[in-house]
Amino acid sequence: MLRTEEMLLNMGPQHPSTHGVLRLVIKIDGEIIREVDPVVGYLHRGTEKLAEDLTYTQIIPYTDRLDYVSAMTNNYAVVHATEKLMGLEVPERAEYLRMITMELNRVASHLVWVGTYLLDLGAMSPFLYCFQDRETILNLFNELCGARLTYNYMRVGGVKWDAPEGWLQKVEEFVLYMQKELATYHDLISGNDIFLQRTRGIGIYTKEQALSYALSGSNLRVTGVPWDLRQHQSYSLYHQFQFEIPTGETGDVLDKYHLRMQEIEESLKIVKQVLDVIKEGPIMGKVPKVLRVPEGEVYTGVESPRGELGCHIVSNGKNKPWRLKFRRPSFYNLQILPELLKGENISNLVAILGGIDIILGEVDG
Amino acid sequence: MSDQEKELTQETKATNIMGEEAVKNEEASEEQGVQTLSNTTSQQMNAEAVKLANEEQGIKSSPNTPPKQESRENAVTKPQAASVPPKKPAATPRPAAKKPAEEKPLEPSRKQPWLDKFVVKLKELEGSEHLEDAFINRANNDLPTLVVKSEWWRTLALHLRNHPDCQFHYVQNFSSVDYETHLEVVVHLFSFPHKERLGVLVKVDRAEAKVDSVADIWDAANWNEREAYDLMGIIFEGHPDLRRIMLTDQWIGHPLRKDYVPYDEGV
Amino acid sequence: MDLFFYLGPIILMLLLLGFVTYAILFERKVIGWIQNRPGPNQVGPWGLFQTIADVAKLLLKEDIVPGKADRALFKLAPIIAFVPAFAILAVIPFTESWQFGDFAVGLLYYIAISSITIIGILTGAWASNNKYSLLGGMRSAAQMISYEIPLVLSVVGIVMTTGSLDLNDIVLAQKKVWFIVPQFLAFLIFLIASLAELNRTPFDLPEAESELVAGYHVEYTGFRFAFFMLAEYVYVFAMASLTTCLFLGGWLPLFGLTMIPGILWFLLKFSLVVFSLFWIRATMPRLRVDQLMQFAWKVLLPLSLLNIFLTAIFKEIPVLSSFY
Repeated sequence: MLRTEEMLLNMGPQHPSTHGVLRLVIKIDGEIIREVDPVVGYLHRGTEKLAEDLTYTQIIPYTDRLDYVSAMTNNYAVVHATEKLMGLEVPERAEYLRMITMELNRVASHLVWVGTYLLDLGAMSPFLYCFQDRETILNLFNELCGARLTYNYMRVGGVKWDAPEGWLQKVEEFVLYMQKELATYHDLISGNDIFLQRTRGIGIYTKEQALSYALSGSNLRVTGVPWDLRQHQSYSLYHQFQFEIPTGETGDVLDKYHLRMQEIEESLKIVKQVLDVIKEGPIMGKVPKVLRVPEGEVYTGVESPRGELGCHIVSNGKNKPWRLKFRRPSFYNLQILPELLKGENISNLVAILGGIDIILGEVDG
Repeated sequence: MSDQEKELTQETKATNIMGEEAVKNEEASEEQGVQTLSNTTSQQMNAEAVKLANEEQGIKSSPNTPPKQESRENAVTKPQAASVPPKKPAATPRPAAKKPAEEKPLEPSRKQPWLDKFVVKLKELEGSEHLEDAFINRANNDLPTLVVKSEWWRTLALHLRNHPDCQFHYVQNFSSVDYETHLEVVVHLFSFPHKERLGVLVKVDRAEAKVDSVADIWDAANWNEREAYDLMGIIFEGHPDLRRIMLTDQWIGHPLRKDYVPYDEGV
Repeated sequence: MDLFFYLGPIILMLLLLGFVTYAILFERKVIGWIQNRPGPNQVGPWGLFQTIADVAKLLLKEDIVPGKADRALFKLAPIIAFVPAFAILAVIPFTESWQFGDFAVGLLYYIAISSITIIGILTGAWASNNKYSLLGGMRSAAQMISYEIPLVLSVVGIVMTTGSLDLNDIVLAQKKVWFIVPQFLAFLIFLIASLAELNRTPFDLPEAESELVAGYHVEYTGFRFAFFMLAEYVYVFAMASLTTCLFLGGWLPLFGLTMIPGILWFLLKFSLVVFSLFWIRATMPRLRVDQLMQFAWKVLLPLSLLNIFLTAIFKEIPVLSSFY
């Protein structure tokens, strides 16, 4: 009888498919995973600590660096919480612009996910197609606020820049293009037998598990819970618009893929509806020069592409928050990983980890 | 905070809250808090008094002062506390959360009846004397909020998670705050069956920051408790794996504490 | 004749290096086109010198041997992997006259020798003393041994038809009709199995970038790494040549266009096979290890047995037997 033993494999922090600097300490038996211990914190920049010494406006660019794939929703999370605490009214056009950018950012973020996920599974081409379409969105953002990733676009009480001339037209063109383009993605990916084999029945968890781990976003909806903060704890002006909340059936990674593709469609639908009603108007509410937020405590969550992105602010009435805490969806979603990976193959590790869709900037705060 | 502001807010308080009775009750409850929480409130007030004095003398004690706990709005009625006579230093600052509130008296929050009922039920629970306060956080979409002492947190958590009337299965947010006088674990829960939100503020002693872990009640609390331990220095007793999560294992201190001083030997 | 005997292999070697150089460029270009991008276009006109620059870079790199590696085996492994890749080319008939070793068991020789490469890969994986490379090496061994069986069995049909293992005979037997027609099932099996043998997408598990970083050659740098890459591309060359000979009629012309020399026909068909390899690489995700094994043993093996059975039956049917 051969003597066999478990092997300790250190995956990351520098590894092509841990999506950044996640480190997984894995005990493997052959290629079967026995135990996983995720080690996070390699990208911890102490955003929450830094925020305590920054004014509310100064915090906004720091949020860009959390979930750098969808910085617009991050901007909004902190701006929204502050407005809530101050009881500020935001002009309609500003809210519409916020919604357009947030939804476009969701599309961009999901495109990155689809692309990198397929890359994790070993298919190269979808990655480039996705990035090409995402590029269009980034260019639109670039035109709007002068940055491709770290937008720093929203302000407490409104947005920083109005849409340049013809911008909304371009957005509309993109929406129409993208709605057609999605068929191409389905042609390329959805029917691919290897893709189906790799993803079907992988990474399944129950609804109860998902709730206990406080998963949010697609990771929760895939278990059949129709929970979307845009509808259920409505913020901004989302209540004015019609959109569906796609949910999954089996809860495997394939479901997550279809769900995110549907979410792209829904986001495009929202953008289309917003474009139909957006009017000229002011883009900043009546906001004092120095933001002094009244004493109090507030927690608000917004639906980021990865789930519930929350912002918990404790204010002492000064121009800087006493405490600012982000509920970072990737951090919550990643927790379930060790449970999902037990007894799986190393190839499945990549498929499951990719399915969760984490951004390490957000996990580590 | 200037004296003028204080007066203003004091006035606001007198006019806007639901009548004399509510104010009395609230103050009474705070009074009770002083008694049961080994003088936390009075300590805090003392600390503030010192700070104010320092500021008058031009000494910079701290650039930032913690938000005052008393400012929490609209304390719920607490029957057993009503007998205690209200006595309150007149100069206690009580800012209102919203400016428009100054003009017209606030309606009772739409969540107030729910919270009242909820609190009555909680009172039946063992150890419910540790429930310090229950109020509606108006600024935060009328969020019902409980303030409890750390001893009771685990019992309450089990109740909130498992009781058919609560079923708060979902942790929306798990945060922690340093108020300089004490620490607070802030948990925002959501109940899918009842579609209710609830905030729980767990007061934790600052010098000996210990609180029971709830990682086995909500899986989501696991890493969050590790994070709170790492950055805020709260020890969660009974946590399966309480290690630092964001910082290195050799890190000295807990950065989110307000008195944290970086220990940079190499720099 | 003597001169050719000695110079021939050297010429072939140089031709081969030229092929590998431009096959890599071609691959990158093809994949670039498929992915809506230009591919390499900076070094030289149309990126023609890109691979040369890459190779030069590899040669100039420091040769690192990991401290805990088994030094002797670590250095030996790339050679073990490369030599058989080159040796098998001896039996490929590029045209009627262009063949280095025409012997009766050419096909058998090809399959036997090509299996040696796996020893090189496994040696390198083991000697690197790296967990990822070990996993890659194990995967590689399991995969290549598993897929060798359907690969060999799929060819048996052709051998039964021609009654010979000599590749020249096999090519000449396709004068009437290429084997891709009567042996279509075998062709598909052969194509899939050869992809697996080549460790190319969707069967690139041994070096699965997103899982094992780079698999068995994760610790190799510079020239030794280049050897592994060279071996891989020489196999692409050899396998495409073999496919051309076995199924696409080798140097035989199509539509009786005899004025076009045989070598051009060969190259044309050969390029078609190489292109399809690149095409598949650009479109397919990667299989999973257990699925890979199941596919070999549960799908390809029974199918190749079926193919042998069908061939044997068709050989006895009067009308069809002329094809077999």
